Order: sequence, then C-alpha cells, then structure tokens
Amino acid sequence: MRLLLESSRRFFYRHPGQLVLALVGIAAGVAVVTGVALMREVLIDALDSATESLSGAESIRIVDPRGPMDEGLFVDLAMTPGAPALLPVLSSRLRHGNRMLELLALDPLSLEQGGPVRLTGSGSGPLFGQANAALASQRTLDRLDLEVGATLSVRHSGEPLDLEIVNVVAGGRELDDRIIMDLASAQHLIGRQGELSFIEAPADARAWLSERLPDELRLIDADQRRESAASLTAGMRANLTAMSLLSLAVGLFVIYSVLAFLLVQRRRTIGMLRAVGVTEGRIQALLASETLILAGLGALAGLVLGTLMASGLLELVRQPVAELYRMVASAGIQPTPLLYGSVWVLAVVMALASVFGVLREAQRIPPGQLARTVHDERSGSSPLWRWLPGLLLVAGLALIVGTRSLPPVLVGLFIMLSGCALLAPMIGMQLLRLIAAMTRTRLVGRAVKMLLSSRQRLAPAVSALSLALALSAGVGMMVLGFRATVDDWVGRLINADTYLTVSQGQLDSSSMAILRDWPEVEMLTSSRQVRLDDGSMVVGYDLNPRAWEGFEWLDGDGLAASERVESGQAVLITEPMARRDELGAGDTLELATPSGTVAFEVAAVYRDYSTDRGMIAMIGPRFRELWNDDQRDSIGLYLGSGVDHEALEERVSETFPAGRLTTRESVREQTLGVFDRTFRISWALAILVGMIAAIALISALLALGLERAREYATLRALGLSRAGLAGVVLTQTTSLAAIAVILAVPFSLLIHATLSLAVQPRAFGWSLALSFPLQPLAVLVPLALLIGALAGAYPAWKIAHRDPAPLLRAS
Amino acid sequence: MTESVLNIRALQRRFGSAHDVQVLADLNLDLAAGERVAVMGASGSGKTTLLHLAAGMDTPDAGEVLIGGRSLSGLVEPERTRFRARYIGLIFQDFNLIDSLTVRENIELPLWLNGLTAESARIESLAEELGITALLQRLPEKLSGGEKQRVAIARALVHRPALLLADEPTGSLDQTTAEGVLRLFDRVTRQHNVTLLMVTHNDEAAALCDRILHLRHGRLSES
Repeated sequence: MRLLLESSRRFFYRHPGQLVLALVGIAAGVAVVTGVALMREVLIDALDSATESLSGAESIRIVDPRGPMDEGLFVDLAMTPGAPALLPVLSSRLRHGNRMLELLALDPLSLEQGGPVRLTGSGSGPLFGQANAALASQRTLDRLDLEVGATLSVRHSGEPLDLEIVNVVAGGRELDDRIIMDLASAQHLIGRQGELSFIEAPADARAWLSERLPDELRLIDADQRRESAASLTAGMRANLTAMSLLSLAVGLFVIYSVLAFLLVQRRRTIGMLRAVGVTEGRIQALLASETLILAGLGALAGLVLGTLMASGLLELVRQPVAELYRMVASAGIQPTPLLYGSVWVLAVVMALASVFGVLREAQRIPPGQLARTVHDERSGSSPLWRWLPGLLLVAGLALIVGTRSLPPVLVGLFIMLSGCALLAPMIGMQLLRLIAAMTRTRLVGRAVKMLLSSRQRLAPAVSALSLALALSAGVGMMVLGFRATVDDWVGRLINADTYLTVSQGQLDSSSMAILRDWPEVEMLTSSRQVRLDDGSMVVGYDLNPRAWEGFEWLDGDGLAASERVESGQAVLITEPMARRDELGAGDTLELATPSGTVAFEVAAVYRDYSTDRGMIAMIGPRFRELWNDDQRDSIGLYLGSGVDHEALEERVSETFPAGRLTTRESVREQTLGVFDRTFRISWALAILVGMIAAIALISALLALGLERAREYATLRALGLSRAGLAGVVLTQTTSLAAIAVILAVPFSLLIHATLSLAVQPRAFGWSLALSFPLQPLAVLVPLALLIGALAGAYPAWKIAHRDPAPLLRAS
Repeated sequence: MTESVLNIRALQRRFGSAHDVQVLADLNLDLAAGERVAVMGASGSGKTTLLHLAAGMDTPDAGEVLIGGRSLSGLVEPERTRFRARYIGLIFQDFNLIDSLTVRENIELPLWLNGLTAESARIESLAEELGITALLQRLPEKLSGGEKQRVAIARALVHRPALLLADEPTGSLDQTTAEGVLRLFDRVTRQHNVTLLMVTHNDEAAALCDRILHLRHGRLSES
C-alpha cells in the first residue's frame, strides 16, 4: 500500500493543476455549506449576547409581554427591602446610514451598585452629565470609523440624533453595533420617557421576583431568550437551510466530477497495477484513501473559505434581521469546533458516498487496460436505476405535499432535487441525440455525437449545471413573484395618500381630532401596534370604508367580518398567525391584555406580509380600552383633490413639530427596499452555487478532453484545424450548457413552486400567489450559454494546441 | 517522366531535452505518382517520425518535405492542416477510429473536412470493395481488429488523397487477419493507383511495395 500511496503522491506532484482543481472543487462546495451554517448560527447566538455580556449569561429578564414596561415598576422593585441588584434597560433601534444599531440605555446608578452588571474598560462614569453621551466597543467604533470624542450621527424613527462617543467599553463581538447610553438621557432623547424594555436581574433572584411581580409580567431565562430568538428567525434560517441543501447537492456533483476526472487520468496506471497483480480491493482502498485525503484537505480549505464567505456576506443577513425582527445580530461570525467538525465530517462522508460509483468503475478496469476511454458505458441499466429518478421525484413530492411542517418539506425538496439530478443526464442525452440527428452533417452534429459516447463522464456536470441554473432561476422566480405579491399587497393595504408619524411626543385621539378638522383631509385611519413576547403583534386600527377595502380576505366573509370587528367583539388575524396557531374564521382566540385575558372571535383571516410572527388586528376603540393606550403609531390621511402637499407639510410641521409625512409611494418603496435586502443573501448564494457548477463543468470537460485525447489527435491528423477542433470542444461545452438550460427550465419551475407554495407558507406562514416571472430565465439562458463557452475556452485551447503526433503513436 | 508526389530533402529531426538525440539525419526520399514504398527499420529508428514529418504533423529541424511540389515548410500550421486534409490519407497501427462515430461517419470524416459530402456515394463503393458494407452503422467498439483496419483504409482513401501514409497497418493484427487485410490493402491501393509510403516491420507487408527502404542511423538505404 505504501508504494501505491507513493505513486499517488507523485502523480499529484506531477499534476499540480489537477490537485488544485480537485481541492478547489471540494472546497467550493464545503465553503457554501460552512458559510450558511455560520450565518445561521449568528442569527440565533448573538441576539441576546449584548445584554448577556453586561449582565451575565445566567441572568434572568423581566419582560412585559404586552409591550414596553413602565419604569415605575423598576422603582417599586428596587425600593423593596431585600431587592436584588436590578438593571433597567431600554432598547431601541438607531440607523446609521444603511447600518442598523441597537441603542442599549442603562441606568448608571444600577451599574455602580454592582450586581450582575459590569461595564469593564470604562465604568459608567462618563455617561453622567452629558445628555448625548454614549459608549461603544472598540470593534464597533472601528466598524463605524469613529474614535472617542467623535460625534455619531444616527436616526431614530427617521429623526436625526447626534451622539457623542465619550469612551470605549470593553467587549467582544457581542457588543458589535451596540451603543450604550444613560437610561434617562436616552429616554429623553428618543421620546420614551418612563419606558423600559426589560429589567435584568441575577439568576438567583427568581424566587424573590416571582413572589413580587405582577401577574402580567414574565421572567425569562437565557435558554428561553435563545429559544425565542431561534423561533423569531426560524423562517429566515429555514430559507438559508434550503439554499444550503441545494448548494450541498451541487457540491456533491462537483466532488464526484472532480474525483471521476482523477480516475480517468490514471486509468492506464490502474490497468497496469492490476496487470502486475494489485487486487481490486487494494485499488479501491487506494482511491478511497485518496478521496479521504483530498476531501479532508479540500474540506479544510472549504472551512476557511466558508468562514471568509460568511464574514463577507454576513451583512446581507444582519440587515434584514434587524429590519424584520428588530434584532441586531453580532457583526462577526462565531465559529465553534463543533460546527467545523460537523461540516468537515459531513463533507468527507458525503465525498466518500459520492465517489462510490467511481470506485466501482475503478473496480471494473481490467488488468492491462491502457486506453483512457471508457468503453463500457451502460446502454441498458437496471430497471431500478431507470425508475429511480421518477421514484425520487414522486417521493419528494409526496413528502412536500403530505406534510405540514418545514423539515420534511426541506427533506422532500432535497429528495426531489436528487431525482432531478439523476433525471437530468437521461433527458439531456436524449436531447443531445436529437440535436445530433438534426445537425448530422455539420460540425455541431459531429461534436455532439462525440459527446454522446461520454455520457457517464458528463452526467455529473449536466446534473450540477442544470441544478445550479434551476436553483438560480427558481429562487429568482420565487423572489420576483414574491416581490410582485408584496407590491400588490402594499398597494392595496396602504391606500391613504400620506402617513403622519412623529419622532418625539405622541399622536393620539386629540391629534386625530385636529386632523379631522383640516379641510385638506377627507378621511383618516390610524394604527397602534404592540409586540407580544412571542414576537407577534397586536394592532388597533381606526379604519374608514376605503381602508377596509385594502384587506384581502383568505378566510371568512369580509363584509360580515368588518361589521363584527367594528363591534369590538371580534378580531382579524393574519395568515401566518392562522397557520401557526391553526386558527380560522369562527374560532376563538384568547388574548392576554393589560386588562386581563379576553376571548375574541376570529372574524376573518387576511393576507399580510409585514411579520411572519403573526398579527392580531382589532378595532381602535377596543384596543385603547384594553391596553389603556391612546397613542397612535401613525395616522393615514386621505386627501381631497388638488391639495398642495408642500402647504400640507408646512401645516403639519407647525402643528406637530416632530411630525413627518410619508407618502404612500415612499412607504411602498421602503417596504420593497426591506424586501430586496432580505433576499440579497439568496441571490448571493445562488450565484455562488452557479460558480461551483461552472467548476464542475470545467472539470468534466477537462476529463473529457483527456479521455478523448487520442480521438481529438486523430481528427487533427485527418486534417481538422486547431480552430476546427477548438470549435468542436466549444460546441460540446455550449451544447452541454444548452441542454442544462433546457432542463433547468422545468426544474426551476419545480423549485419555484416548492419554495413559493410549500417552503414559504411553512417557514413564514404566508402563502404566495404563484406567478411565473420570466426575467431570471431571460438573464440566465444567455448567461449559461456564456458560462458554457467560457468553461470550454480553456479545455478547447488546451486540446487544440496539444501536439497530435505523440498521441497517435501505437500504445 | 513520371510526376513526383513526395520529395524529402536533407531532413533532420532531433529529440531530447537538449535536442541531442538525432533521429533523422539528412534523409532524402522521392516517391513518384503511383509508386509504393516500404520503409523498414528497428524500433526507435525514426520510422513513425518520418511519417509524421511527411504528413506535416511534425516540423523538421532542417530540410524540407514537398508534396506535389509544394513545400510543407512554407506553410503555416493551419495551411498544413488543410493541406493534409486534402492531399494525404493516414492509416495507423492502432486504427484510431473515433469511437463515438459509426463506421460510416468515420469514413465520411475526410469528405466532411474537405467539404466533399456530396461524394458520399464513394463511401458505399469503398465499403463494398473492402467488404464492410454490413458494418457501416456499427460503432468501432463492436468491430474486430481486422474490420477496424479495413474501416481505417476506407477512411484514408475516401477523399482520393495524393499520398497515402501507413504506419504499421498490420502491427496490431494477428497473422491470419494481417494477411487478409494486406491482400485487401494491396488490391485496393493498386486499383486506386495510390502513392504509398508505408513504414512496417512486417516483411510480407513490405513485399507488396515497389521499393523497400531501410532506415538506419537516420538515413534511408535501398535493400
């Protein structure tokens, strides 16, 4: 075995290009899986790490499931004899350019009193005495390109704020993009006087607190917070997982393709080894050892590349998470040995599994075979093999259609794609036969004919390329279809001409009364939202007849529902909530409110894409009664014709100094902007998968070129020019790309339909109207043909410039 | 005076990393139209190299190759390739058929390369002469060695080349098959009045030719 391994080592030493190709192929597949895994972890791990770093991982948190907490509660608790050290915290979001920051406002006095809280590096002293003083970690300052003493300009609810960085607080990634301020100053600065987001307490204070807390407040520990964060981001993580599975499928074909290529190269050597008495078992052991070493090294490189990729793409995930879930995740990935180890083992095991066919092929090399060409292409494979793709497609489809939870759907998608991958070469070769028959006497026909005899060699490349294209097009169609649906939804629901919000102070019934008297205003709507501790929202609406028209009813009679809701006895729920809690029109919903638990009839279910955590909508007066909250987050103004908007804005700024008008079009643009940012990661991963598939194609073409070297040399000897031979190779690669494109169309529709009709509803709870935007295909078809041509350029050049004479000498 | 088809003048070819292994040294050869010449020599004597140089698949270090009075040295590579496609037929020891093309398509290749597909009727007549009509739709991998070489002969002759170059045409065949192929080769090349340069170890193959030359120390000599 030592001699065999030595022979392998020398082979790779003499063919560094092949070694690099093999390692790159494996590394690329592993990199995508690693990158996605790391980004998924960030979504769960880092959400609460900032406060944990300040108050300890074992701390418990007092929260009010109904929304912000009254500061008076903290005062009461803190004044009670025997009170533990408590830290009141107000958390809010700030925007700095395109970056979302978290404002963590703490009470410096509580900090000074010790307890679980620590602010190492600076202490809290500098926070005193200056209204806009703020602290940040050095990493955060570096990311913002600031230093101590600099002014940080941010926006809170659209209003500009200038904060002065007075000192650096010690901390790691958990404090990334966090700005720490004095509680009282922050409350004043952002207009949230008397409000707290939560109170941190030491873990051993649970019993003391449980005895004294009002019933409506909850105590949650670190595990529960982590669970909550995980559930909040479940949809987005599921999306990433789906992409990761698709990437893995493509990556496996790359591994197969690369290792099959290495086998082709050494067919002659293996034949000779067999001839001198090396057993099949030893040959297989040799190849398996090589696979292990190559996959192991490639996977290691993949872990490094994946880590770099995740660091580079993390911002594409953090931003939508901040916008959609109001959570500022860590700005850095946090790799763990367990994650790296799992991915590495998975890659190596999958590599060994994927080369099973290659090992069998090696086993079939007869002793003394010197030709590189494989002559034993199976023309009649077993019935099971022929039916396997169909069986996988049906099994995958059955799993997707027949289950209601997400994991089986993802497994079903993976199985279905495996079926597609096996089906692709079968159909592809039939298509090639058709092309060859139609262009029999031309260069294209002859080039394609030559391809047909290498179907086993090309099968992985065809599978990888068609899957990658289908993935890109399918994801593209889903995203564009989804976008069109969201656009339509926003257009229906947001039907006031302009919306009034305030950055400081508040809008309330008196504001409504003022506006109602304005001659420019024909009708008003208003809304007030509170977030429940499970992330779902309750919204109190004041609606007019036009606003009611904006709802799209999915369950229940809309007219009757509006009457029931107006009566205050019923609520509306969004589709994600209906799906998650298995509620429908006519069901009863028990809602914990500050006035106690109230049972509501669900009048109807309506389409909504604003939050995947679900929303309960009730009529404004009932909301105000139950929550004792007269505030409005925004007021929609329906204007009469010919209103001078500039004059209106002037009037608004006079009446509501902190008020701001946002037009319907602006709201639409902002919504679609969030949407686009949410799906940037999907596009990025789809592009990466496409690049991996291109590697698979190049690898397969090089293998083909090597395998057919003698045939190509014969053609040159017979008088086919270099350009002609290059033309043959380019025609072959472009034909492969063309059939991959043709196959990618139905596969992409399948992926699109699965993502839209099965994954989205189960991951996020909302359904999508299935539409078929053709733009992704319009872009991908020429792009794939270009990739095919480019992938063939190097092999074409190499094959055409190879000296035919040595290849034609007798063996 | 008989027209000369192949003229080789003072041909030199060296190999090796230091260009120090001289395979052909001032080699000269003339073939008249219709003449059949066999070149014999020990393994490694440079027979195949001579053939590759004559086909324009290799370039000499010195000297020149003229076919039909035209010097291959004066042609750039694409011109040499076109020239070879049009005027030269090649037969290899290992047949070198394209496995992915049928027998008919293999034979058709030179016609296609020369834009002579209209002459495809010639495929049938050659196939009949060589006894391979029944094999036309088969793939090469299904053929015996003798059948493969007959296909290779048809492919080499289908476009009526001025010069046929044969490299050990029976080298990969057993004796009985080789004898059959040789008889056929002899008959067909005579019928088509082919100018032939054949390198071989086989005395019987050489005996079919008008002249037998020996390649020793890079030079040709009459036997």
